[in-house]
Order: sequence, then structure tokens, then C-alpha cells
Amino acid sequence: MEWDVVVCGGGLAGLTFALEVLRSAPEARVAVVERTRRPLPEACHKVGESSVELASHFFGERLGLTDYLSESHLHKNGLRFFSGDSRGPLHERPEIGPPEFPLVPSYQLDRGRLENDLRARVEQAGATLVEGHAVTSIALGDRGGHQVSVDDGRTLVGRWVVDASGRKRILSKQLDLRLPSPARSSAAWFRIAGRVRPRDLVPDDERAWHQRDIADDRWLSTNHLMGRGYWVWLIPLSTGFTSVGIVADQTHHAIADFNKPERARAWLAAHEPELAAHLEDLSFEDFRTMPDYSYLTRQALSPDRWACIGEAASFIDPLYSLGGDFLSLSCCYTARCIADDLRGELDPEVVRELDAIYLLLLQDSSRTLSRNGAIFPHAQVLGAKLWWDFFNYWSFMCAHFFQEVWLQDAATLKRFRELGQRYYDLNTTAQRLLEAWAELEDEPFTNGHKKMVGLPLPRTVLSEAHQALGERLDLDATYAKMEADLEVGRELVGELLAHALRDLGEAKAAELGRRLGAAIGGREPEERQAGMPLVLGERFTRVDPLPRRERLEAYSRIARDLERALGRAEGDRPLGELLDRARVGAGVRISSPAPSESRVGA
Amino acid sequence: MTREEIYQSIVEILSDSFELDPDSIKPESTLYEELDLDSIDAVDIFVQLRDLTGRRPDPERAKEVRTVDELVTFVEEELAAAERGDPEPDVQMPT
Repeated sequence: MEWDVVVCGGGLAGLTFALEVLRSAPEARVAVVERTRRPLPEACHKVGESSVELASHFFGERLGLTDYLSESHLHKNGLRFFSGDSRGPLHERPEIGPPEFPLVPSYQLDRGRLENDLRARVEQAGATLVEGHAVTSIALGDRGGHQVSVDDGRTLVGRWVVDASGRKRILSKQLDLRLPSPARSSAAWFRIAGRVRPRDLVPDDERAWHQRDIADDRWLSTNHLMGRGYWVWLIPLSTGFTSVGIVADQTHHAIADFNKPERARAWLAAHEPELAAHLEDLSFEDFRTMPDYSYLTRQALSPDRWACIGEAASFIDPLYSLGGDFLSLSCCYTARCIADDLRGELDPEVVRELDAIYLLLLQDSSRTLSRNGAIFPHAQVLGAKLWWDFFNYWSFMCAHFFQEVWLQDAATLKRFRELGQRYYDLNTTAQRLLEAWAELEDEPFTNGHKKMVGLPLPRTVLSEAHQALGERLDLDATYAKMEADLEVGRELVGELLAHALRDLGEAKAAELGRRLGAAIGGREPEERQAGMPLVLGERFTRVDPLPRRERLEAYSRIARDLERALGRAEGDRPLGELLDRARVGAGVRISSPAPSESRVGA
Repeated sequence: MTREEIYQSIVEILSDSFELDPDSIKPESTLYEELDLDSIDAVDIFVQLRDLTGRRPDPERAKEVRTVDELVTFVEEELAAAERGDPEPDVQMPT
């Protein structure tokens, strides 16, 4: 056979995949067929510039690109969100983001520059780049190998075929692998020459707002302006440009309202007037749109020696910049199978397990990233969501990747996947709580209790979960930590219920309970499967009414961390009573003593 | 910023963050005994003081602060250091 691997597409997925294969199997014969030729334009090549921890770990640590990324791209100052009143001044909007530059690195990538440089590296590493030619079809074979037809009439025969064709999704269409996504959103984006920094929108005399950003590096974050059913990104690029994007849930905003440059300006003027005013005299260097962009897949990796990687497999949503993460997972899982195969050690069960964990993580993240449009303008709920989502992401998905669980045997993979399923169950409960909480808010936006929510706040469970990514653990310690973190997560979500109940108060508690159903001990909620029930201990009744000092001493660590980060709403009734109402709403019969004042402070 | 303005800002931070009655806060109040704060609260106070000073505080000096009045003096000194352009202490905060 001519090739060990034929890669269909040489974008970010195809190129990093080729590097990963050659890292784990240096003798592999790898061909990458790519339609475009170098040089690719900088700044305006492709969208998808922001990377988070998992993808940054793949590009930096595994592929050895840390120095290159530091020199030629930008170190990213985490994710930063501005919630509250999108029509008001930016400095009055609650800010959620890292108070200090994160220790675990991530990057803002200029995609044109990156892909030019990666092509050169892929060739140096020993792969053959077939540039300027498109794949016309893939014929999957059995033992004789797969045949990839190229537009110049050539046919490349490979032991493995890897579809990296991006949204063309050659194999996915051929095999009918697409699964609809629960996320129904559309996006438009453009680049501006020069920097567009949050500080440019805030008057100089707002000293407290400016001084909070001690190192003047807010602009290095992926900045998100959050409004009902939409968000706008601001991403700086190393080439001096700024990427700006509008992402909107179709149930709240029609794409027809922002799918042309003039319409996007008008839409921004209506929803984000401060940004619109700042952009007024700046020209858009490019302008692209993507309606209803989200899709999942039934399968990404097969023991029959084919795989779909990057966006040829799935794309959920740009929020949290997870596109690069799923690209990394599919690249690494596929490369591992190929390396095993070339050593004569391919275990079909490993392939099935890796596919299953990929699909589970995809399902988990798509649950996190869909139906959340009501949350964005409510700073209290958004802060709560971000705390849980980041905890969930760092504790399982990142840890699974960073600690190289995916290089283990099939039985180990299965054991970790079953633990991952429990994280997913808890996430289902958490997301249902967060959605219901936001939907039950009366006001169009709320500011919460903090001008700045640290994400992560120093010296908290969350900041430790983040730092732990930099520490290598053995397999047993990794499993034990994930299990312990799941229990912390369960407490975390239980605490978020307490925050939601106090915030919504007596009038809404029963309805919140009805929507949570089994999660707080009642009937199944009206829509779909059960999540994980929450632990509702005595903090809900005995501890909550105590004076601050006594309360803190009785609190779990996560309860205190959340109160520090999010602040505390004074409920209109004692928490125990609010919980009772919620449980009655959920269909729980409250037998022992009816809620009464006498219990307070007991 | 005058001493009085700094004092008022600190009273606001303390009462907003720690459920304290502003009237119960006096210049001579001790943070850890009378106001019943602990070391984690102190971390949160010094993070919030950045909005006033625009500087990372020196943790060694911050540890010596015992009363509200000393906290006011601390902020005054930080502001003066910021004015002079003194380098910040080389401390990596845990993220």
C-alpha cells in the first residue's frame, strides 16, 4: 500500500493531526491533500482564533510548539465576560474573568499565520503535502485500503483515511453520520485593522474600572459582551488585527438582522451601542457568516481504519472556544489508534472506547452550550454557570486529556468513561437549574452582587482545579481525584440551587422546583432524562440563617468559595422554607413539621 | 484621593463584602478581632483595593495591617508608590 494515512484536508485539524501521527509513529507514511496553496493570507484566513487549555496543551506541550506559539501568536488572558445591561456603559456591566493572568497557558491564534507555519513543519516532520488539489471522493475499502481520489486524476491508497475536510464533511455525508445539535445559533464575524480593547469603550476617568486591570491586559482575553440570546466576541490577533464576532441563538435573533456588514452595524447599534459607536469609523477587513452552524456526529473513529477529525466530525458552538479542543481530541485519539496499528497492536475495543468518550464529551459540551441564551444578561446566573462549567471542564475533560488517560487500554478507558457519564448526569442537572433560574428572572437583565467575579478567584476550589492541570498524576491518583471532584461538583451544584432559591425568592421557588423535578427529590421534570440528584444537606436549613462568622465556619469550602465569588442574595424567606416550596413544586410530599419561623436559627 | 475618601471607600468594601453594618466600622476597629474577618477575607479585601490603587499590594506589608486606620494608611502609601512609579512586588498570585 502506498500510504499508511491519507489525510483529506490540510487545515488546522489535518496539519496538527499529521504532526501528532509522526510524533507517535515517526516512520508513518503520511499524505495530506489540501486544496489551497501557500501563502495563506494572515488575519483574514479562518475563524476560530481563540484556544483554551486543552487545545493549548495539545499544540504547545504535545506538539512542542510552546516557543513558537509564544513568539508568533498571543498569550491569552483567559475568557472574560461582560453581563448585565448591554445598552448601558461597559464599566457598569458586571465583569467575570481572571483577576490575574492564568498560569496554565492558552493562546490567541492568527489562523493564516499558524497554518502557513504548520505546513512547513509538517513537511519537515516527513509528511507529503499535496497542495493545490482537492479530494473528489473517498472509497472505503476493506483490507485492500481506502482509495482517495484527487482532482488531478490521481488516486491515493491508504491503510487509514482521515477526513479533515472541515465543514465539507466528506465522510460524514457519505456515511450519514450527522446528528442534529440542540444548539440553534448563527454567527457573523469580521476583522478590524488594529486593536479594539474593552478599555477603548470606557472613559479614562472611570479610574476604579481601569485600575482593577493592573497589568492592562484585559484586551488579551477573549472578551465577550453578553446579551439576551447573543454574545459578541473581541479577540486580538498577533498580526495586529482584532476579530469581532456576533453569535446569536435563532430563537432570540434572526440571522437576517446581522448577515451583511451594514446590518451587523445596525444590529450592534441596537444591542451593543458602545461597541457600535467605537466601530463606526473603522472598516471591516472581511465579513463572513455561518447560519445554524452547529452539528454533532454519530461516530468519529472506526476500527475499519477511518476517522473524522476537527470540524469534519462536529462543531458545537464557539462559546468557550471548544472547537480547538474537540479538534485536539479527535486528532490525538485517531493518531493513537494509527500508531497502535502500525506497531501491529490495534485493539478494536480501544478504538470503540475512544470513539465513545469523544461522543460523550461532545454530548456533555453540547448540553452546556445550548439553550443558554436567557442566562447571558443575568450576571448572577452567568457567574454561577461559568463556575460550574469551568469546574466540570477542568475536572474531567481536561484532566482526562492532560493526564493521558486516552493512551490507556480498553478496560481503563471504559472505567474512566463510566465516571465521565456521571459527570454528564450532574451536568444535565446543573444546566437545567441554570436555565430555569435565568428564565424565571423578571427583569431583562440583572447585575448580581459583584462588580467583578473572579474566574477563577484565587485560593478557591476552582483555581486549584485549574492549577492541577499542570501537575502530573498517575492513573490511580487521577481517577481518585476525578471521583473526589465529582462529589465537590455535586456540592457545588447544590450550592447553586441555594443561590438560585434566595435570588428568586418565595414567589418563584415552587416553579423552580417543578422544573428541577427529580434533581431535588420530586417527580421527573416534564422534559427528558433524569440528571443526578443533588445533595441538600443541613446547610439548607440549619446553617444558612446563622450570622456570617458562624455560617462560614459551618460551610463547606465550595459554599464559601461561591459566596466569595458571586456574593449572596438575601432571600425573602429562610432558605429551608424556600427549599420546601421548591420540593412541593417538584411533587415531594413534605410530611414533618410544616415550614415555620420557629425553625429559623434553631 | 484624600484620607477621608479612602476611609469611605474602605468602609464601603467592608460593609458590602462582609455583611457589616457601616456604623459598626470605626477607624480603630481591628479587622480580625472586632470585625471578625479571617485570612481569606483579607485576600478578598486586598484584591478589591486594586480598584483604588491600581497596584498589586506587597503581601508582606499587607500582613502587618491590623486596623481600619492602618488599612487607610496602607492605601495612601500604595497610592504614593503608584504616583512615584515604584515597581510592584514580584509576587505571582495563585490563579
